[in-house]
Amino acid sequence: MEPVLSVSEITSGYGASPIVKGVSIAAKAASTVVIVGPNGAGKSTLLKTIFGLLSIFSGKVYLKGEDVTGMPPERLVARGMGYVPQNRNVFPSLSVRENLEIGAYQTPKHTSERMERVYLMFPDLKKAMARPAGTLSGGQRNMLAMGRALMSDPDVLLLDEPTAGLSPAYTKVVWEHIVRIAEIGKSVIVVEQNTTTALTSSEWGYVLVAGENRDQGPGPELLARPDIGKMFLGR
Amino acid sequence: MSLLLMGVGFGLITASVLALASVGLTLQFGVTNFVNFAYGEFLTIGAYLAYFFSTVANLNIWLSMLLAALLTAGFSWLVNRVVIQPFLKRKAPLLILLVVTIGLSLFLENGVQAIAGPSFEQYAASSGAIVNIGPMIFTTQQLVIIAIAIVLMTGVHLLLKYTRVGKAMRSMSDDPDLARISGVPIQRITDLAWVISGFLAGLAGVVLAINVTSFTPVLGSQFLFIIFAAVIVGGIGRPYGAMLGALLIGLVTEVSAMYIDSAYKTVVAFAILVIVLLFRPQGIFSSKGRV
Ligand SMILES: Nc1ncnc2c1ncn2[C@@H]1O[C@H](COP(=O)(O)OP(=O)(O)O)[C@@H](O)[C@H]1O
Ligand SMILES: [Mg+2]
Repeated sequence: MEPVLSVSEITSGYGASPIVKGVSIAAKAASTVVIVGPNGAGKSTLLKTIFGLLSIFSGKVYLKGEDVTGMPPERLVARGMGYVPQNRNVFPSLSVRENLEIGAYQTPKHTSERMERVYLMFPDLKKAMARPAGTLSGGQRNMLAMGRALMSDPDVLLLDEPTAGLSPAYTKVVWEHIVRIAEIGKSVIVVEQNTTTALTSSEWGYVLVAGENRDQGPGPELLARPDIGKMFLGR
Repeated sequence: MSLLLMGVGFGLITASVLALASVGLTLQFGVTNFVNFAYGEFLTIGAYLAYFFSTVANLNIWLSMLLAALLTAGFSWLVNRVVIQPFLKRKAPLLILLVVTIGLSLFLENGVQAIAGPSFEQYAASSGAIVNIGPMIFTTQQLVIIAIAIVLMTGVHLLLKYTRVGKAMRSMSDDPDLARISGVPIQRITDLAWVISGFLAGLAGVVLAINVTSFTPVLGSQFLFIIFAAVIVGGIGRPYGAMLGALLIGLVTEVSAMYIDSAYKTVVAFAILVIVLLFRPQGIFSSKGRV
Protein backbone atom coordinates (compact mmCIF):
# COMPACT_ATOMS: atom_id res chain seq x y z
CA MET A 1 0.00 0.00 0.00
CA GLU A 2 1.19 3.52 -0.87
CA PRO A 3 2.34 5.32 2.30
CA VAL A 4 0.25 8.35 3.35
CA LEU A 5 3.36 10.10 4.58
CA SER A 6 6.79 9.48 3.23
CA VAL A 7 9.89 11.30 4.37
CA SER A 8 12.93 10.81 2.23
CA GLU A 9 16.52 11.48 3.32
CA ILE A 10 15.64 14.55 5.39
CA THR A 11 18.43 16.71 6.79
CA SER A 12 17.48 19.72 8.91
CA GLY A 13 18.37 21.77 11.97
CA TYR A 14 17.88 25.08 13.75
CA GLY A 15 20.89 27.03 12.62
CA ALA A 16 23.53 26.04 10.11
CA SER A 17 24.50 22.68 11.62
CA PRO A 18 22.24 19.71 10.91
CA ILE A 19 20.46 17.95 13.79
CA VAL A 20 18.48 15.43 11.77
CA LYS A 21 20.72 13.72 9.23
CA GLY A 22 19.34 11.90 6.21
CA VAL A 23 16.37 10.33 7.95
CA SER A 24 13.70 8.47 5.99
CA ILE A 25 10.40 7.25 7.38
CA ALA A 26 7.11 6.08 5.91
CA ALA A 27 3.66 5.66 7.42
CA LYS A 28 0.59 3.90 6.08
CA ALA A 29 -3.06 4.67 6.68
CA ALA A 30 -4.69 3.03 9.70
CA SER A 31 -1.43 2.29 11.45
CA THR A 32 0.79 3.56 14.22
CA VAL A 33 4.46 4.27 13.71
CA VAL A 34 6.65 5.09 16.68
CA ILE A 35 9.96 6.91 16.75
CA VAL A 36 12.10 6.12 19.77
CA GLY A 37 15.59 7.17 20.69
CA PRO A 38 17.60 8.73 23.51
CA ASN A 39 17.06 12.28 24.71
CA GLY A 40 18.44 14.81 22.26
CA ALA A 41 18.45 12.33 19.37
CA GLY A 42 16.47 14.74 17.20
CA LYS A 43 13.01 13.15 17.43
CA SER A 44 11.17 16.40 18.10
CA THR A 45 13.29 18.15 15.49
CA LEU A 46 12.24 15.53 12.95
CA LEU A 47 8.52 16.07 13.66
CA LYS A 48 8.92 19.85 13.49
CA THR A 49 10.71 19.49 10.17
CA ILE A 50 7.97 17.31 8.69
CA PHE A 51 5.38 19.85 9.84
CA GLY A 52 7.09 22.76 8.12
CA LEU A 53 8.35 24.49 11.28
CA LEU A 54 12.03 24.24 10.39
CA SER A 55 13.82 24.80 7.13
CA ILE A 56 14.90 21.66 5.35
CA PHE A 57 18.55 21.47 4.21
CA SER A 58 17.88 18.54 1.90
CA GLY A 59 15.39 15.73 1.38
CA LYS A 60 11.69 15.55 0.59
CA VAL A 61 8.37 15.17 2.37
CA TYR A 62 5.45 13.58 0.52
CA LEU A 63 1.88 13.68 1.79
CA LYS A 64 -0.54 11.40 -0.04
CA GLY A 65 1.92 11.25 -2.92
CA GLU A 66 2.31 15.00 -3.25
CA ASP A 67 5.52 16.87 -2.57
CA VAL A 68 4.85 19.12 0.43
CA THR A 69 8.48 19.88 1.28
CA GLY A 70 8.84 23.27 2.95
CA MET A 71 5.11 23.97 3.02
CA PRO A 72 4.01 26.12 6.00
CA PRO A 73 1.94 24.50 8.79
CA GLU A 74 -1.41 26.08 7.94
CA ARG A 75 -1.27 24.69 4.42
CA LEU A 76 -0.22 21.27 5.68
CA VAL A 77 -3.19 21.32 8.06
CA ALA A 78 -5.49 22.14 5.14
CA ARG A 79 -3.97 19.20 3.23
CA GLY A 80 -4.43 16.67 5.99
CA MET A 81 -1.54 16.80 8.44
CA GLY A 82 -1.93 17.42 12.15
CA TYR A 83 0.72 17.97 14.82
CA VAL A 84 0.64 18.00 18.59
CA PRO A 85 3.75 19.49 20.23
CA GLN A 86 5.03 18.08 23.48
CA ASN A 87 4.68 21.22 25.58
CA ARG A 88 2.28 24.12 25.48
CA ASN A 89 -0.21 22.19 23.39
CA VAL A 90 -3.47 23.87 24.47
CA PHE A 91 -4.67 27.49 24.57
CA PRO A 92 -5.01 28.05 28.33
CA SER A 93 -7.46 30.97 28.29
CA LEU A 94 -9.71 29.48 25.63
CA SER A 95 -12.42 27.05 26.69
CA VAL A 96 -12.12 23.38 25.78
CA ARG A 97 -14.73 23.88 23.09
CA GLU A 98 -12.91 26.93 21.68
CA ASN A 99 -9.65 24.98 21.60
CA LEU A 100 -11.39 22.40 19.44
CA GLU A 101 -12.89 25.10 17.23
CA ILE A 102 -9.44 26.55 16.58
CA GLY A 103 -8.36 23.08 15.45
CA ALA A 104 -11.08 23.24 12.80
CA TYR A 105 -9.98 26.66 11.51
CA GLN A 106 -8.73 25.39 8.16
CA THR A 107 -11.64 22.99 7.69
CA PRO A 108 -14.69 24.73 9.18
CA LYS A 109 -17.39 22.80 7.31
CA HIS A 110 -18.02 19.90 9.65
CA THR A 111 -17.01 21.45 12.96
CA SER A 112 -19.94 20.35 15.13
CA GLU A 113 -19.96 16.83 13.73
CA ARG A 114 -16.25 16.42 14.39
CA MET A 115 -16.57 17.93 17.82
CA GLU A 116 -19.14 15.27 18.69
CA ARG A 117 -16.71 12.61 17.48
CA VAL A 118 -13.93 14.04 19.66
CA TYR A 119 -16.29 14.19 22.66
CA LEU A 120 -17.26 10.58 22.02
CA MET A 121 -13.61 9.58 22.08
CA PHE A 122 -12.74 11.76 25.09
CA PRO A 123 -15.84 11.99 27.34
CA ASP A 124 -13.76 13.91 29.91
CA LEU A 125 -13.52 16.79 27.46
CA LYS A 126 -17.26 16.92 26.95
CA LYS A 127 -17.74 17.35 30.68
CA ALA A 128 -15.16 20.15 30.73
CA MET A 129 -16.41 21.76 27.49
CA ALA A 130 -16.92 25.27 28.91
CA ARG A 131 -13.85 25.32 31.17
CA PRO A 132 -10.68 27.22 30.23
CA ALA A 133 -8.11 24.69 29.07
CA GLY A 134 -5.63 26.13 31.54
CA THR A 135 -7.60 24.52 34.37
CA LEU A 136 -7.32 20.96 32.98
CA SER A 137 -4.99 18.29 34.37
CA GLY A 138 -1.90 17.28 32.41
CA GLY A 139 -3.55 14.15 31.05
CA GLN A 140 -6.71 16.00 30.06
CA ARG A 141 -4.60 18.62 28.30
CA ASN A 142 -2.93 15.95 26.20
CA MET A 143 -6.37 14.57 25.32
CA LEU A 144 -7.51 18.06 24.34
CA ALA A 145 -4.38 18.60 22.28
CA MET A 146 -5.06 15.37 20.39
CA GLY A 147 -8.71 16.31 20.01
CA ARG A 148 -7.74 19.72 18.66
CA ALA A 149 -5.50 18.11 16.04
CA LEU A 150 -8.27 15.65 15.09
CA MET A 151 -10.68 18.54 14.41
CA SER A 152 -9.13 19.11 10.98
CA ASP A 153 -9.73 15.40 10.24
CA PRO A 154 -6.07 14.80 9.32
CA ASP A 155 -4.85 11.77 7.41
CA VAL A 156 -1.54 11.95 9.27
CA LEU A 157 -1.21 12.84 12.93
CA LEU A 158 2.19 13.67 14.44
CA LEU A 159 2.34 13.33 18.23
CA ASP A 160 5.37 14.44 20.24
CA GLU A 161 5.60 12.51 23.52
CA PRO A 162 1.87 12.43 24.27
CA THR A 163 2.45 10.57 27.53
CA ALA A 164 5.31 12.65 28.95
CA GLY A 165 4.73 13.36 32.62
CA LEU A 166 1.67 11.10 32.87
CA SER A 167 1.14 8.26 35.32
CA PRO A 168 1.49 4.69 33.97
CA ALA A 169 -2.29 4.30 34.18
CA TYR A 170 -2.90 7.44 32.15
CA THR A 171 -0.16 6.45 29.71
CA LYS A 172 -2.09 3.28 29.02
CA VAL A 173 -5.28 5.27 28.44
CA VAL A 174 -3.53 7.63 26.02
CA TRP A 175 -2.14 4.71 24.04
CA GLU A 176 -5.57 3.12 23.86
CA HIS A 177 -6.72 6.36 22.25
CA ILE A 178 -3.79 6.43 19.85
CA VAL A 179 -4.59 2.89 18.74
CA ARG A 180 -8.24 3.82 18.30
CA ILE A 181 -7.30 6.88 16.21
CA ALA A 182 -5.30 4.58 13.95
CA GLU A 183 -8.26 2.19 13.77
CA ILE A 184 -10.49 4.90 12.33
CA GLY A 185 -8.06 5.13 9.41
CA LYS A 186 -5.47 7.69 10.48
CA SER A 187 -1.77 7.32 10.13
CA VAL A 188 -0.33 8.16 13.53
CA ILE A 189 3.35 8.95 14.02
CA VAL A 190 4.34 9.06 17.67
CA VAL A 191 7.57 10.11 19.31
CA GLU A 192 7.84 8.33 22.65
CA GLN A 193 9.99 7.93 25.72
CA ASN A 194 7.78 5.21 27.17
CA THR A 195 9.39 2.73 24.82
CA THR A 196 7.78 -0.49 26.01
CA THR A 197 4.16 0.60 25.66
CA ALA A 198 4.92 2.44 22.44
CA LEU A 199 6.69 -0.40 20.66
CA THR A 200 4.16 -2.97 21.87
CA SER A 201 1.31 -0.92 20.44
CA SER A 202 2.94 0.08 17.16
CA GLU A 203 3.04 -1.60 13.82
CA TRP A 204 6.43 -0.17 12.95
CA GLY A 205 9.19 1.49 14.90
CA TYR A 206 12.19 3.65 14.06
CA VAL A 207 15.20 4.07 16.29
CA LEU A 208 16.78 7.51 16.02
CA VAL A 209 20.23 8.03 17.50
CA ALA A 210 22.26 11.25 17.13
CA GLY A 211 20.00 12.45 14.34
CA GLU A 212 20.41 9.29 12.31
CA ASN A 213 18.10 6.41 11.57
CA ARG A 214 19.84 3.63 13.48
CA ASP A 215 17.27 0.88 13.08
CA GLN A 216 13.71 0.03 12.14
CA GLY A 217 11.29 -2.85 12.23
CA PRO A 218 7.95 -4.07 13.58
CA GLY A 219 7.44 -2.58 17.05
CA PRO A 220 7.26 -5.77 19.13
CA GLU A 221 10.23 -7.23 17.27
CA LEU A 222 12.39 -4.19 18.03
CA LEU A 223 11.34 -4.40 21.65
CA ALA A 224 12.43 -8.01 21.87
CA ARG A 225 15.91 -7.27 20.52
CA PRO A 226 18.60 -7.32 23.21
CA ASP A 227 20.59 -4.35 21.83
CA ILE A 228 17.52 -2.10 21.77
CA GLY A 229 16.47 -3.28 25.19
CA LYS A 230 19.90 -2.34 26.46
CA MET A 231 19.76 1.12 24.90
CA PHE A 232 16.38 2.11 26.33
CA LEU A 233 15.35 -0.20 29.08
CA GLY A 234 18.58 -0.88 30.87
CA ARG A 235 18.21 -4.62 30.31
CA MET B 1 -25.87 69.59 40.16
CA SER B 2 -23.19 68.43 42.54
CA LEU B 3 -19.57 68.48 41.52
CA LEU B 4 -19.38 64.74 41.94
CA LEU B 5 -22.14 64.00 39.44
CA MET B 6 -20.73 66.52 37.02
CA GLY B 7 -17.40 64.71 37.28
CA VAL B 8 -19.10 61.37 36.68
CA GLY B 9 -20.74 62.80 33.57
CA PHE B 10 -17.42 64.03 32.17
CA GLY B 11 -15.87 60.75 33.30
CA LEU B 12 -18.28 58.72 31.21
CA ILE B 13 -17.40 60.75 28.13
CA THR B 14 -13.67 60.48 28.72
CA ALA B 15 -14.07 56.77 29.47
CA SER B 16 -15.85 56.35 26.13
CA VAL B 17 -13.05 58.04 24.21
CA LEU B 18 -10.48 56.12 26.21
CA ALA B 19 -12.22 52.76 25.78
CA LEU B 20 -12.16 53.06 21.98
CA ALA B 21 -8.48 53.97 22.03
CA SER B 22 -7.38 51.43 24.66
CA VAL B 23 -9.17 48.46 23.17
CA GLY B 24 -7.61 49.27 19.79
CA LEU B 25 -4.11 49.38 21.26
CA THR B 26 -4.52 46.28 23.41
CA LEU B 27 -6.03 44.16 20.60
CA GLN B 28 -3.03 44.77 18.41
CA PHE B 29 -0.70 44.08 21.34
CA GLY B 30 -2.53 40.85 22.20
CA VAL B 31 -2.06 39.47 18.71
CA THR B 32 1.45 40.75 17.92
CA ASN B 33 2.95 40.96 21.41
CA PHE B 34 4.65 44.33 21.07
CA VAL B 35 3.52 47.86 21.86
CA ASN B 36 2.89 50.28 19.01
CA PHE B 37 4.27 53.59 20.26
CA ALA B 38 3.01 55.32 17.12
CA TYR B 39 -0.56 54.56 18.17
CA GLY B 40 -1.10 58.13 19.45
CA GLU B 41 -0.40 59.43 15.93
CA PHE B 42 -3.00 57.03 14.55
CA LEU B 43 -5.51 59.01 16.64
CA THR B 44 -4.09 62.27 15.38
CA ILE B 45 -4.35 61.12 11.77
CA GLY B 46 -7.98 60.10 12.33
CA ALA B 47 -8.76 63.51 13.84
CA TYR B 48 -7.17 65.43 10.94
CA LEU B 49 -8.79 63.25 8.28
CA ALA B 50 -12.18 63.97 9.85
CA TYR B 51 -11.26 67.65 9.92
CA PHE B 52 -10.62 67.48 6.20
CA PHE B 53 -13.91 65.69 5.46
CA SER B 54 -16.09 67.78 7.77
CA THR B 55 -14.60 71.25 7.53
CA VAL B 56 -12.91 71.30 4.12
CA ALA B 57 -15.24 68.94 2.22
CA ASN B 58 -18.29 69.97 4.27
CA LEU B 59 -19.52 66.48 5.13
CA ASN B 60 -21.50 65.61 8.25
CA ILE B 61 -19.19 65.13 11.26
CA TRP B 62 -20.25 61.54 11.96
CA LEU B 63 -19.91 60.55 8.34
CA SER B 64 -16.50 62.24 8.37
CA MET B 65 -15.61 60.23 11.47
CA LEU B 66 -16.55 56.98 9.74
CA LEU B 67 -14.53 57.83 6.63
CA ALA B 68 -11.56 58.91 8.76
CA ALA B 69 -11.71 55.68 10.79
CA LEU B 70 -11.81 53.56 7.63
CA LEU B 71 -8.81 55.40 6.19
CA THR B 72 -6.92 55.11 9.48
CA ALA B 73 -7.68 51.38 9.44
CA GLY B 74 -6.16 51.16 5.97
CA PHE B 75 -3.18 53.21 7.10
CA SER B 76 -2.68 50.92 10.09
CA TRP B 77 -2.73 47.89 7.77
CA LEU B 78 -0.12 49.61 5.60
CA VAL B 79 2.10 50.38 8.61
CA ASN B 80 2.08 46.70 9.55
CA ARG B 81 2.85 45.54 6.02
CA VAL B 82 5.39 48.19 5.02
CA VAL B 83 7.10 49.12 8.29
CA ILE B 84 6.66 46.28 10.79
CA GLN B 85 6.66 43.08 8.71
CA PRO B 86 10.07 43.65 7.07
CA PHE B 87 11.60 43.75 10.56
CA LEU B 88 9.69 40.68 11.70
CA LYS B 89 10.82 38.78 8.59
CA ARG B 90 14.40 39.49 9.58
CA LYS B 91 13.55 38.26 13.07
CA ALA B 92 14.34 41.61 14.67
CA PRO B 93 14.17 41.52 18.48
CA LEU B 94 11.19 43.16 20.17
CA LEU B 95 13.33 46.04 21.38
CA ILE B 96 14.07 46.98 17.78
CA LEU B 97 10.34 46.96 16.99
CA LEU B 98 9.70 49.34 19.88
CA VAL B 99 12.39 51.67 18.59
CA VAL B 100 10.87 51.43 15.11
CA THR B 101 7.41 52.42 16.35
CA ILE B 102 8.88 55.28 18.41
CA GLY B 103 10.66 56.51 15.29
CA LEU B 104 7.47 56.14 13.29
CA SER B 105 5.65 58.15 15.95
CA LEU B 106 8.04 61.11 15.54
CA PHE B 107 7.90 60.82 11.78
CA LEU B 108 4.09 60.82 11.69
CA GLU B 109 3.68 63.65 14.16
CA ASN B 110 6.03 65.83 12.14
CA GLY B 111 4.35 64.69 8.94
CA VAL B 112 0.95 65.80 10.19
CA GLN B 113 2.45 69.08 11.33
CA ALA B 114 4.09 69.64 7.95
CA ILE B 115 0.82 69.06 6.11
CA ALA B 116 -1.73 70.58 8.49
CA GLY B 117 0.39 73.17 10.26
CA PRO B 118 1.00 73.57 14.00
CA SER B 119 -1.99 75.78 14.80
CA PHE B 120 -5.19 74.84 16.60
CA GLU B 121 -8.02 73.36 14.55
CA GLN B 122 -11.65 72.84 15.43
CA TYR B 123 -14.51 70.95 13.79
CA ALA B 124 -17.29 73.16 12.45
CA ALA B 125 -20.02 70.83 13.79
CA SER B 126 -22.21 72.13 16.60
CA SER B 127 -22.23 70.23 19.86
CA GLY B 128 -26.01 69.87 19.67
CA ALA B 129 -28.82 70.37 22.14
CA ILE B 130 -28.47 70.04 25.91
CA VAL B 131 -29.94 66.85 27.34
CA ASN B 132 -30.67 66.19 31.01
CA ILE B 133 -30.27 62.62 32.16
CA GLY B 134 -31.22 62.55 35.82
CA PRO B 135 -29.01 65.12 37.46
CA MET B 136 -26.38 64.96 34.70
CA ILE B 137 -26.20 67.23 31.68
CA PHE B 138 -24.89 66.14 28.29
CA THR B 139 -24.87 67.58 24.81
CA THR B 140 -26.29 65.33 22.10
CA GLN B 141 -22.79 65.16 20.64
CA GLN B 142 -21.50 63.75 23.94
CA LEU B 143 -24.31 61.22 24.07
CA VAL B 144 -23.45 60.09 20.54
CA ILE B 145 -19.83 59.58 21.67
CA ILE B 146 -20.97 57.41 24.59
CA ALA B 147 -23.28 55.46 22.27
CA ILE B 148 -20.47 54.90 19.76
CA ALA B 149 -18.26 53.51 22.51
CA ILE B 150 -21.00 51.19 23.79
CA VAL B 151 -21.77 49.91 20.29
CA LEU B 152 -18.10 49.36 19.44
CA MET B 153 -17.30 47.65 22.76
CA THR B 154 -20.27 45.33 22.25
CA GLY B 155 -19.03 44.71 18.72
CA VAL B 156 -15.53 43.83 19.94
CA HIS B 157 -17.04 41.52 22.55
CA LEU B 158 -19.17 39.71 19.96
CA LEU B 159 -16.22 39.49 17.59
CA LEU B 160 -13.90 37.94 20.16
CA LYS B 161 -16.45 35.62 21.69
CA TYR B 162 -18.47 34.37 18.76
CA THR B 163 -16.61 34.71 15.48
CA ARG B 164 -14.02 32.42 13.97
CA VAL B 165 -11.51 35.23 13.41
CA GLY B 166 -12.13 36.63 16.89
CA LYS B 167 -11.36 33.29 18.48
CA ALA B 168 -8.30 33.04 16.24
CA MET B 169 -7.14 36.42 17.58
CA ARG B 170 -7.54 35.16 21.14
CA SER B 171 -5.68 31.96 20.29
CA MET B 172 -2.77 34.01 18.93
CA SER B 173 -2.81 36.10 22.05
CA ASP B 174 -2.55 32.91 24.12
CA ASP B 175 0.14 31.20 22.07
CA PRO B 176 1.07 32.32 18.54
CA ASP B 177 3.18 29.23 17.83
CA LEU B 178 0.39 26.86 18.75
CA ALA B 179 -2.06 28.97 16.74
CA ARG B 180 0.12 28.53 13.68
CA ILE B 181 0.45 24.81 14.33
CA SER B 182 -3.33 24.54 14.64
CA GLY B 183 -3.80 26.00 11.17
CA VAL B 184 -4.64 29.60 12.08
CA PRO B 185 -3.44 31.84 9.20
CA ILE B 186 -1.48 34.09 11.52
CA GLN B 187 -0.52 36.56 8.80
CA ARG B 188 -4.13 37.29 7.91
CA ILE B 189 -5.22 37.47 11.54
CA THR B 190 -2.35 39.88 12.25
CA ASP B 191 -3.48 42.06 9.33
CA LEU B 192 -6.99 42.03 10.73
CA ALA B 193 -5.78 43.01 14.20
CA TRP B 194 -3.98 46.03 12.74
CA VAL B 195 -7.04 47.01 10.72
CA ILE B 196 -9.36 46.85 13.73
CA SER B 197 -6.78 48.63 15.87
CA GLY B 198 -6.48 51.41 13.27
CA PHE B 199 -10.25 51.70 12.91
CA LEU B 200 -10.71 52.12 16.66
CA ALA B 201 -7.78 54.58 16.77
CA GLY B 202 -9.38 56.65 14.00
CA LEU B 203 -12.73 56.76 15.80
CA ALA B 204 -11.01 57.55 19.09
CA GLY B 205 -9.03 60.37 17.51
CA VAL B 206 -12.16 62.03 16.18
CA VAL B 207 -14.17 61.75 19.38
CA LEU B 208 -11.13 62.90 21.35
CA ALA B 209 -10.84 65.95 19.09
CA ILE B 210 -14.57 66.65 19.55
CA ASN B 211 -14.20 66.25 23.29
CA VAL B 212 -11.27 68.63 23.68
CA THR B 213 -12.82 71.06 21.11
CA SER B 214 -9.60 72.31 19.55
CA PHE B 215 -6.53 70.28 18.69
CA THR B 216 -3.01 70.34 17.23
CA PRO B 217 -0.75 67.62 15.77
CA VAL B 218 0.21 66.50 19.31
CA LEU B 219 -3.42 65.52 20.07
CA GLY B 220 -2.76 61.77 20.03
CA SER B 221 0.73 61.69 21.50
CA GLN B 222 -0.42 63.72 24.50
CA PHE B 223 -3.26 61.26 25.07
CA LEU B 224 -1.06 58.16 24.65
CA PHE B 225 0.03 58.07 28.27
CA ILE B 226 -3.58 57.95 29.49
CA ILE B 227 -4.26 55.16 26.96
CA PHE B 228 -1.28 53.22 28.32
CA ALA B 229 -2.55 53.71 31.84
CA ALA B 230 -5.97 52.26 30.96
CA VAL B 231 -4.43 49.40 29.00
CA ILE B 232 -1.94 48.46 31.72
CA VAL B 233 -4.41 48.84 34.57
CA GLY B 234 -6.67 46.38 32.75
CA GLY B 235 -3.81 44.01 31.98
CA ILE B 236 -2.05 44.58 28.69
CA GLY B 237 -3.37 42.54 25.77
CA ARG B 238 -6.79 42.04 27.39
CA PRO B 239 -9.63 43.93 25.69
CA TYR B 240 -12.08 43.48 28.56
CA GLY B 241 -9.41 44.74 30.93
CA ALA B 242 -8.87 47.79 28.72
CA MET B 243 -12.60 48.56 28.80
CA LEU B 244 -12.59 48.36 32.58
CA GLY B 245 -9.34 50.32 32.80
CA ALA B 246 -10.82 53.03 30.58
CA LEU B 247 -13.88 53.31 32.79
CA LEU B 248 -11.78 53.47 35.94
CA ILE B 249 -9.25 55.99 34.62
CA GLY B 250 -11.94 58.07 32.90
CA LEU B 251 -14.12 58.36 35.99
CA VAL B 252 -11.36 58.94 38.52
CA THR B 253 -9.46 61.53 36.48
CA GLU B 254 -12.60 63.56 35.72
CA VAL B 255 -14.07 63.36 39.20
CA SER B 256 -10.74 64.38 40.72
CA ALA B 257 -10.54 67.27 38.25
CA MET B 258 -13.69 68.67 39.88
CA TYR B 259 -11.88 69.00 43.19
CA ILE B 260 -8.26 69.61 42.25
CA ASP B 261 -6.70 71.40 39.29
CA SER B 262 -7.60 69.59 36.06
CA ALA B 263 -3.96 69.98 35.01
CA TYR B 264 -3.29 67.05 37.36
CA LYS B 265 -5.37 64.55 35.34
CA THR B 266 -2.29 62.79 34.03
CA VAL B 267 -0.82 62.65 37.51
CA VAL B 268 -4.04 61.08 38.78
CA ALA B 269 -3.97 58.52 35.96
CA PHE B 270 -0.38 57.74 36.88
CA ALA B 271 -1.31 57.36 40.55
CA ILE B 272 -4.07 54.86 39.67
CA LEU B 273 -1.60 52.98 37.53
CA VAL B 274 0.95 52.78 40.34
CA ILE B 275 -1.63 51.72 42.92
CA VAL B 276 -3.05 48.99 40.70
CA LEU B 277 0.40 47.73 39.77
CA LEU B 278 1.40 47.60 43.44
CA PHE B 279 -1.44 45.26 44.27
CA ARG B 280 -1.96 43.47 40.95
CA PRO B 281 1.18 43.72 38.80
CA GLN B 282 -0.56 41.75 36.02
CA GLY B 283 -3.41 44.26 35.85
CA ILE B 284 -6.96 43.89 37.13
CA PHE B 285 -7.99 41.33 34.53
CA SER B 286 -5.43 38.64 35.01
CA SER B 287 -6.91 35.44 36.39
CA LYS B 288 -7.52 34.04 32.92
CA GLY B 289 -4.95 34.44 30.11
CA ARG B 290 -4.72 37.49 27.93
CA VAL B 291 -7.74 38.77 25.97
N1 LIG C 1 15.07 25.40 19.43
C1 LIG C 1 16.28 24.82 19.31
N2 LIG C 1 17.33 25.56 18.86
C2 LIG C 1 18.55 24.99 18.74
N3 LIG C 1 18.83 23.71 19.01
C3 LIG C 1 17.83 22.92 19.44
C4 LIG C 1 16.51 23.45 19.61
N4 LIG C 1 15.72 22.44 20.05
C5 LIG C 1 16.50 21.36 20.14
N5 LIG C 1 17.77 21.64 19.78
C6 LIG C 1 18.89 20.70 19.75
O1 LIG C 1 18.59 19.69 18.81
C7 LIG C 1 19.00 18.42 19.29
C8 LIG C 1 17.83 17.46 19.20
O2 LIG C 1 16.79 17.92 20.04
P1 LIG C 1 15.37 17.26 20.02
O3 LIG C 1 14.92 17.11 18.61
O4 LIG C 1 14.51 18.05 20.91
O5 LIG C 1 15.66 15.83 20.64
P2 LIG C 1 14.63 14.75 21.20
O6 LIG C 1 13.25 15.20 20.90
O7 LIG C 1 15.01 13.50 20.48
O8 LIG C 1 14.88 14.63 22.66
C9 LIG C 1 19.50 18.63 20.71
O9 LIG C 1 20.92 18.63 20.66
C10 LIG C 1 19.02 20.01 21.09
O10 LIG C 1 19.98 20.65 21.89
MG1 LIG D 1 11.68 15.76 22.15
